[in-house]
Amino acid sequence: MGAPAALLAVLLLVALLAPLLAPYDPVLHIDSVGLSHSPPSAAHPFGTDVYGRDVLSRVLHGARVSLLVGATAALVAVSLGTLVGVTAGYRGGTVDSILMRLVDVGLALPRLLVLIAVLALWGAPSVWQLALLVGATGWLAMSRIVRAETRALRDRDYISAARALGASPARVLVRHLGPGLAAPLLVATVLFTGQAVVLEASLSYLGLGVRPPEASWGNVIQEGAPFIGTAWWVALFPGLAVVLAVATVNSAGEALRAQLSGRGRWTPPVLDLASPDGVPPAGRPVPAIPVA
Amino acid sequence: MITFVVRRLVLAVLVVVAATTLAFAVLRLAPGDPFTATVEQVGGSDAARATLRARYGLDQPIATQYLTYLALVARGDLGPSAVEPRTAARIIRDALPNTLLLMGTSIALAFIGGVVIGAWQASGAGRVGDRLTSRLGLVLYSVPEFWLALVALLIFAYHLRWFPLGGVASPLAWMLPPGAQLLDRLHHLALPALVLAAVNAAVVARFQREALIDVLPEPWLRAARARGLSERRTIGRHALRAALPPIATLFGLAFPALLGGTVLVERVFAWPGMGYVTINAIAQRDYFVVTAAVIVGAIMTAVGSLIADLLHAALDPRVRVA
Amino acid sequence: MSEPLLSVRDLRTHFHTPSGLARAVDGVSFDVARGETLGLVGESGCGKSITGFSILGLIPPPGRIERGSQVRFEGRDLIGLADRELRAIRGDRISMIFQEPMSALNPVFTVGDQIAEVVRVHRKTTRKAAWARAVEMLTLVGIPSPGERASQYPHQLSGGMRQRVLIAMALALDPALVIADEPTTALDVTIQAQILELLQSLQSRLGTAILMITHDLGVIAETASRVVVMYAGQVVEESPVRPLFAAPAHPYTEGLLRAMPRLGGAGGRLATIPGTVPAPTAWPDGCRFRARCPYAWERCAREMPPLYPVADGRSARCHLVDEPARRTLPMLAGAPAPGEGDHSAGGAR
Repeated sequence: MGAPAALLAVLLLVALLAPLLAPYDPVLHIDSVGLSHSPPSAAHPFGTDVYGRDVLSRVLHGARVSLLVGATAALVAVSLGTLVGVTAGYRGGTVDSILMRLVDVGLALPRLLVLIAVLALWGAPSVWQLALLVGATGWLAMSRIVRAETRALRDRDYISAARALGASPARVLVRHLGPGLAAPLLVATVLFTGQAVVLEASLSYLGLGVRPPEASWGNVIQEGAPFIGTAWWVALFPGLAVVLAVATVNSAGEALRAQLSGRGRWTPPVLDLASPDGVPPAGRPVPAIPVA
Repeated sequence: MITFVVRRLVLAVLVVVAATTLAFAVLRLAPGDPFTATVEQVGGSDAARATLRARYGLDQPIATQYLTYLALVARGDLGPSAVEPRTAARIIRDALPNTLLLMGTSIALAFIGGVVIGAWQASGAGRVGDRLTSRLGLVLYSVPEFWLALVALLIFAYHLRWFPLGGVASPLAWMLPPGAQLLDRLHHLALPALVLAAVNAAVVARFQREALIDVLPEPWLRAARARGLSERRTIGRHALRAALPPIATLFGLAFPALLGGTVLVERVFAWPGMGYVTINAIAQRDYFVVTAAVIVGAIMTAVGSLIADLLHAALDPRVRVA
Repeated sequence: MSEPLLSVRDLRTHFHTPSGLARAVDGVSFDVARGETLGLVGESGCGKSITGFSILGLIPPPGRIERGSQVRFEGRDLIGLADRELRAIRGDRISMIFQEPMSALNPVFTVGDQIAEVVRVHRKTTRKAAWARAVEMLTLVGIPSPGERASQYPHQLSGGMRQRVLIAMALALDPALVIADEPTTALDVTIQAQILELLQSLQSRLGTAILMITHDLGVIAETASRVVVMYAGQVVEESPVRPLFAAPAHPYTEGLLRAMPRLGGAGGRLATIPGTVPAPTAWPDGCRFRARCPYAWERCAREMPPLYPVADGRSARCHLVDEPARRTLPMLAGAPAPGEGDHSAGGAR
């Protein structure tokens, strides 16, 4: 965990404190003629854009929007995915096959083209609408993961036992599946956030995402893209911010996964002893020795 | 095997129907009449408008409209363009070869490169080289392709001038002899293809590395060594070959994302493919072209996942014969 | 007497694990003569499989064959041989048959392909000739329609069929020694008998020596001429088969024999040896079997028994050979007796 987690905390802090950290107003045209496309300098470390706005300030403020969209979309995706996945995995049978066929179909649709079509129709949406839309098109993969986990857990002895003892489905789900699903869900949320940040940037780059003059990393890149040959700084820095954020989120997710899976799937410790392939009896030579 | 193929084909049809439904919804809900622009273009007579409305069933109840639209799509009629005399299907068809060329090249580069890198990493898992390249891979696959494309454009086209700024060919390339024309094409293809390949190779490498590490403790590898096979042969043939089926699965899963990345990179390089055409169509409110792109994209994805499944079956006899 | 085919001397294979040094094989010596079948017996965890892999130098880190170990084969010491030379021996002069035939075969290649590969790796032949050899070998091991079977994948064959494939592969290059590691354990009883019969008939035809690693004394009785019993990384008894079964010299062997199901034997529960093999990271001082031994007395804790010679070229690592009178003592002293009640309660807990 360590480093990625710390970096993630710093990123979130920067996004939170953007208004305090930003040296200039992100939207105000300071001097749209004299300052247009001035290269990075002490006064404007990331340079200025075509309207003479401070790119650093726009990137800092953009962090709020981009990360907000990313995190919200991930939460929406994970919630929907969990709902569908648990339903399919727990109920099984027809419900399961219908839901999973729908998911198969949804997964096979090119997500970006679908979003482009929907957004082209809607025109530029609000930040929240964008987050909802990105989340609503992202739960499909999640539901598969959750379904697999649910099915695996459902067939465990202790869940069957709880069901046999007459525990209500809701109770079994919350008390028993909950802890088992927590780890994969946490990891997925983190990784989905990264995906959503990239997607927001892509849509905003196409002019279909966050509406200017409000800054998001994607639309700052969009504004810089036509001038990449001359005023490279406008598109470069917000892009670096995306890479930094997404790489951080991804490595945090990976580290989290490694840590959670390193101890094996989460299982109640008492039950491990009862399982046939759990802890071997004392005195037996174990793992490190490969016995063919 | 046959039921398997049939099931995949059914899924493919469902995917295309779903995409068509979505396209229909977009067309119906779009502000204004999608034919307004078209009609103005052809002279704006009410008679022309009525003809078009009848052809696309717009004077019918909504369910009939939907069925009419499905039938039209099934016949390959994806609607007229709002701004051009060409039909939407024609516009996409003209752009498609460029997209396929770019995608095909970058996928080939990404998978070959990714498999080789991933295998190299896994065979020395934990070594400095592995750790370093794994880190680098993590960063690389966090990079939005369109932004990497911009950076590549900045460095290799504007500053170093190694590659052209965009397009599929030089403006006067048709005057060149065929060999030079081919070179000119490759020259234009190189940068966008490499950008797409780099990011996707990072994904493939990661996947390949894990797949191979999963296979390495298999007892049959030890058995292979016990038969006197060299380490290179054990890893390079036995382990790698057994670790390939998951890569075929990845191909199917990643195909929609690959298509999305291509769409964006096309825009950066003014590469006249599907993505470029679609994004221009949005600006011009040319809904039929946008929806045509969604439908064709869905067909491409369906074909892609079918290829992935067949590839998977070809690589894993347990799937094939079971 | 001519030089034995394989001569293992003071073989020590240790695993340098984070949780301590595991002396999995700890000073093992034995010989295998040309064409003979030597049984290597012991419970799982006693080091017999690792002994087999050590002979071929197939010990992955953190395992290591320690200095001073010697594995002489056809006049050469295999320990310290360059990897290239060792590879030339593996699969060619010495080959191996494994317990789980499925897990010894690569699931994504046809069985014919895998047999032909061994041939091509070791001999300069054409693809076609190697394939022909594979089919020929499949015929030899009694697989019906071998031409067809050769182009099938492992998962399409039954367990017994797969083991035949492994035998075909092991014998394809006419090796001098086959190391068979629990070759029948994973198979049904009827198939077991067929496989053992096949191995023996091929052995007598080809003159191959076999090192039969097993926990099953029944397999030994059927196939081997001599037995080496291993316990806790050491050889505890070595003997020709008949005298061993008639009068085991080591209490561990005695226990193993008692635990063996017998046709026509008295009904009732099978005896087991109480307790389990200790962890290789912590072999006890003195005699390593003493905690499970009904006869153990204080000398066993104090002094590790050497391999005492017994009559007829037999030997046993037990102080009882030195003090035979003790063999009856525990009964009189009321120490844990090897009576029915006791060992049926055996097991770890």
